[in-house]
Amino acid sequence: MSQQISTFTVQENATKYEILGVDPRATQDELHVAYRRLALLHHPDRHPEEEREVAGQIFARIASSYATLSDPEKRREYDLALSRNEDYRETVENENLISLAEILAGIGAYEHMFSEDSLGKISKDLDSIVQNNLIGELGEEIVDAWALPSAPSGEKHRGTFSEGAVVLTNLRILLPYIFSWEEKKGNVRTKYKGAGMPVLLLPTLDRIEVVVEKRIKRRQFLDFHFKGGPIRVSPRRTNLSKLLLVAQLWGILIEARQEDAKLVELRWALWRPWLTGLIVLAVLFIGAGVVGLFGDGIVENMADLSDFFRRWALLQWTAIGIAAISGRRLMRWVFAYSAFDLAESLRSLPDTKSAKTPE
Amino acid sequence: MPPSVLWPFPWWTAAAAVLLLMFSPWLIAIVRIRRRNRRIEKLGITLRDSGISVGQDLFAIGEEQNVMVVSGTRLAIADVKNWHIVQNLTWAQTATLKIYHNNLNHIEFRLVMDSGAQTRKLRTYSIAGFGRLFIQSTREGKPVEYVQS
Repeated sequence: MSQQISTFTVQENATKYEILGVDPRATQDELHVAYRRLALLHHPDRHPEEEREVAGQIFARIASSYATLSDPEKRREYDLALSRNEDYRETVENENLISLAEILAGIGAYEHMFSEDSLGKISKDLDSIVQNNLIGELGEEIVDAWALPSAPSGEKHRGTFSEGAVVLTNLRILLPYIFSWEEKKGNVRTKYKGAGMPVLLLPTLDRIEVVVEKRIKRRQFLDFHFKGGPIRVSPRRTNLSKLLLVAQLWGILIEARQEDAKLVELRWALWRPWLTGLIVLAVLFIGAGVVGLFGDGIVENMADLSDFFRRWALLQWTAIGIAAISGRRLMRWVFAYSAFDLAESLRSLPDTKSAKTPE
Repeated sequence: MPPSVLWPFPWWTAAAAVLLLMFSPWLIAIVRIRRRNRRIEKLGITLRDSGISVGQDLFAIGEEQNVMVVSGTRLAIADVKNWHIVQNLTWAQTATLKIYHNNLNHIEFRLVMDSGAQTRKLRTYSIAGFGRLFIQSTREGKPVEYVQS
């Protein structure tokens, strides 16, 4: 299980805006998201004993910055002092007494999107791994879950991958997966099951990249970028609207990218059905030949076999079947890659303003 | 040699049938796409004349009947089955982005105006496109309403 915590250094002379990592024109909502994110990362309760002192100092500066900037009157005074290059003096009390639960209190506003049945699509084994790992005292709740066809990138496991899921909560992204392997001792074969669960703390994510590959047989990847490098998963679901909502909650940047594969999909339309058809036909041919030559099957020698194929026009009908499938795919390919969307159409319009300008 | 039971015609007729089956859908698609693209172009001209500017931030979202075109502060909803602009609005007129939760693969959403009126429901399979709309709506400071069905 891996858990990533970003390192954070605060310059001595950093402004309160710099400490919170926001623009001086940031709205109250942006300040709140930035504070929630940093406070969860640097709250002393989340750190081991040896790091607690440093974390406490950083947390105090974060809390002090938020206390000033979230109060419009204090913010105005602070901005004025900043513009005049003056020192701004203040007293902030009891920063360390703010509990994690208080910091996360605003998250309750999103509870309408938590879904009790969202885990219905993943197995009981994965469900129990997730339920046992939820941080109840911080109010962690499941928001959505999507099945995974393969283990998250970079995860090494024994044997074969059995099942996995992306479980989105209001605090973390859990990536539970189960794998299995067999061991043989003498005449005894034993099957084993193992589980892994990389965990990404949402405030540590720099950005989430949604990559959609191809237009007909769409494949979607999610790249979670954090300081330890990206983790890529390929969820089966494409409706990821809850991910956008949770990203907004933590102020995580979302990027989306469509990657076309024109030639690959043309090959899928034209070449793949014929290849599959030929393989099926070859198997049929060999199968019928074997049955006919070595047993009392429908044909008894090669001449009979070719006669059988000719009599029932198997080649013709197979070719017609394949052509029908291929033709349909070709139609989908033309629609997918030649249809304008409205934005493209607008971009391709001639510039009427410059055309009408008199000389 | 007795004729084939299921294909009693010369071999080249089978080859012709194969070519016909392969390329007639392709031809149909080309003709339909050209007609569609011509209509889309006309709709594009109407949209441009209605004030949608062609910039870097221009994008369209929505499959099937209703398509939303977003450019800067302007939004338009076009009906691409009946080829007309349904609504033309600005971000300032909108109040909320309403997302409908379903357990299907597509995303359904609509915009709610300050007056309480709503745009048509739009449907998309593209999380990439919806992501852009979501990001822009967040930048414009519009809250998100999530409807769990």
